[in-house]
Amino acid sequence: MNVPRPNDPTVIGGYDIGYSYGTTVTLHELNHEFAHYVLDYLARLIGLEEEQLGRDGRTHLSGLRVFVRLDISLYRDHGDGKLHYMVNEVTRGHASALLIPYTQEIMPDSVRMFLGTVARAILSYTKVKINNLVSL
Amino acid sequence: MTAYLQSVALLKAQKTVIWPDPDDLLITDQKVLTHARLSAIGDALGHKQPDIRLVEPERVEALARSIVQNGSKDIVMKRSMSYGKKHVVHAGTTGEELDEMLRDERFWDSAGAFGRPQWFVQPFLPLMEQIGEIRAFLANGTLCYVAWTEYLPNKKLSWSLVEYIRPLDTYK
Repeated sequence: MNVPRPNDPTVIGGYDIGYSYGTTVTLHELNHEFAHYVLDYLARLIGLEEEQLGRDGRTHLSGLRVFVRLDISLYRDHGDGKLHYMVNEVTRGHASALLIPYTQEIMPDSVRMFLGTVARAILSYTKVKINNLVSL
Repeated sequence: MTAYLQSVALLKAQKTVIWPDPDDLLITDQKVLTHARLSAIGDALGHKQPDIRLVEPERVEALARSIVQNGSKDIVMKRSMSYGKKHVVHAGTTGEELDEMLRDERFWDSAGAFGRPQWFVQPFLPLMEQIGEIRAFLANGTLCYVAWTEYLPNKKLSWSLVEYIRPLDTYK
């Protein structure tokens, strides 16, 4: 695959969606609008799922808390003529291709941070699950 | 399937923590259910999600062939319990690809408790084809990294990591 060089704009089909392949991703650099969009959706998805899957007085702990990939598309609404984000797919962690560079030399800090975050999330998830089981 | 559910219930009763939770596995790739949740969230947040329409099982093949033969540009037909564009019918789908997608349809009636996947149609989104998709990876409730992907003419997936996304109001 031809990996774009840092800070080279990626222009496809006349649309510039940003700059590819940097080092550390920060929400400030990435775009607050986009970050808030996905985090708002995630929080509500988790809430709906836990509400709907909880049963017998037990709270369901959604796996979306551990790791999920949200696939976002753009579409233009014919009503207001504006571009909108839309969540096109929700792929759970265990079923998700990671789309990361696979060698240590080119793995960006953001991806390294991600892998550590997943490990911590699984640990927290397990602790909460065990506590729930013990308290029931 | 019944044996699987009984085994899972037994494991959970033994205070075993499983990740992914078997309950999560049962709703993985339930795209219609997911869409219903996404639509409800979109309504609450003021974001629009394009509508989908379920296709009755007996109409699946005729509608799919109609989309391919007529080169219908307006709609895309997709299936739940599928991933990686394995069951996506659009104007560019070939007859051979369609035959492959529909090959298993006749077996679902005898699948028992596993259930039949649902086909549905949604509007064709030209921007998805023109600029691809943005994939956001979230762990422990935080946004960790973002990749941008597009399907190339040879149907292979091209991807790269993204560190900046242009605000929507800067597009014409």
